[in-house]
Amino acid sequence: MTPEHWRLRRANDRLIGFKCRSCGWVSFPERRKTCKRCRAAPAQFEEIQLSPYGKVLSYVIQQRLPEEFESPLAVAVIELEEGARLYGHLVETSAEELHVGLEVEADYRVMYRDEGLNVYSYKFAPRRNVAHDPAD
Amino acid sequence: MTQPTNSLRGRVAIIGAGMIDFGELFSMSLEEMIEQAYLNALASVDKGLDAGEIEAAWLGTVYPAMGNTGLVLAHATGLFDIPVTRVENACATGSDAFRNASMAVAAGIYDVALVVGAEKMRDEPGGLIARSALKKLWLGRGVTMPAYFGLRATAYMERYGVGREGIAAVSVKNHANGVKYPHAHLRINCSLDEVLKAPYVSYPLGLYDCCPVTDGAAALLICRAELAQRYTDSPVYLLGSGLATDSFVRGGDLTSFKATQEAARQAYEMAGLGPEQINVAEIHDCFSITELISYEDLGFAPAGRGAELLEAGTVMLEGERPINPSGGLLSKGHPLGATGVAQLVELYEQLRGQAGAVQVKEPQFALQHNIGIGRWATGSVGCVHILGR
Ligand SMILES: [Zn+2]
Repeated sequence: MTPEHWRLRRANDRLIGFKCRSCGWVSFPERRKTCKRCRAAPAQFEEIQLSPYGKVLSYVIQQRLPEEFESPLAVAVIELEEGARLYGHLVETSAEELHVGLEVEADYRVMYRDEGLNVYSYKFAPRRNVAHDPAD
Repeated sequence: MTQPTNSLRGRVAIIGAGMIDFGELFSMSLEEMIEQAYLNALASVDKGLDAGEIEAAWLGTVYPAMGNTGLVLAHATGLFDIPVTRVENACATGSDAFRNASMAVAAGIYDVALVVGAEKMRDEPGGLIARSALKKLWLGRGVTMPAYFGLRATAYMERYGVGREGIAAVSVKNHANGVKYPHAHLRINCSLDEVLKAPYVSYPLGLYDCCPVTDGAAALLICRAELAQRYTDSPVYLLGSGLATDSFVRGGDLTSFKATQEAARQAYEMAGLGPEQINVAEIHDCFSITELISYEDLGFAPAGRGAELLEAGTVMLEGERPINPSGGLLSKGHPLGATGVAQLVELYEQLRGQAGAVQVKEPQFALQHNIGIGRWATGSVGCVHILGR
């Protein structure tokens, strides 16, 4: 059995996106052979490294969730700088701090354990104006 | 009356409509629910209709029953041998079953057809929330149904400066209507204060902002318009139909649903009508915010000003353009496949003056609407129908 995360692991692990050469739309995580915005078929996509920075387009604080989740859980629709949209769990923040337009940055955290192994994925924390120590 | 050949306008008549009381129907199987809705629709035909006259049937249901086929309808009704087709299209499942049946009848392939929408929701104890799975990284990372719409609510509130009370007014109105509607699941009033103080399901949406988990079934009998008088002196005609898809990954704002706007454009154009001519509507209110946004997408209010229709009383049962006189999904419940068909059943009764305690004053044109979740986002499927006397 191939875990579902395996097929898209590159996009997930490294935030790789695909940009349509006709209209500039960014596909994340998937790249297929057609463009969802301009209908180019076949479309020419170029691989791009997405930035870890983005902003909150909207958010919710989920209270009722299956047991495997920690709740309450803040989830946002994030738009990365290149325009790709994704759902992301928010960490290191509070309900008071959350708002539409909040600048965030992706960080890799354990999302769940699968057959004893940690599966990492991106989560988002508010972007702090602190320079990262390269030794981190 | 000449028609463009690509239009459904005026070609199809509804001649019978029936549903069962929605609720937690643990004592009824899916088949029994379909059977009863079918019998109620047959019994509603003014001049009678023999089961042998039904030439084809469509079933709208989301969860597979007897596999992904329409067989459960044949078993429930005894309508074997004729074509039975199962349709699934997110929250527009029942509406799309009606749309497909209408296209076949309009094309002259069949004289009389049956449409059934049905869903057994309560057999899954965790409901749809249990389907959120952390391990499905790409399936929205555990974003639940209330969260999909909560994300729209947050964006709407912040963009337009609308408070939770502006959204909650939808819930107060629809629960009040549901008390009067005999088929509704929740027949309870709730005050604005109760909506606002109820526990959060997914902030900013609380318990009363969410529709209940409900079992239900509904059925329609339709025929070619030329044959309608055979069955009733007061048929209801299909005037316009629209269906569209969208995805939030394409871009666009989170405060409207493009799929609704596009489906509405198709339906209004086909009917040759505009929103100002609609007298009554059953629109998708799976969550309170959905109805507010839909006022705007359907052209009843400008963007960001849907709440004014509630403040002015326009959409109240006694108002100028009542919306969701049945109590909507918030009271009636939202058994996915049954939802659209039940909305059409209610509007059929409204247009014929048979809606009892929730009857609107002599409506001429009615609008029905769904917006559905699909592929990890809401706003994915929009469907609109316009009916007239
Ligand atoms: Zn493109």
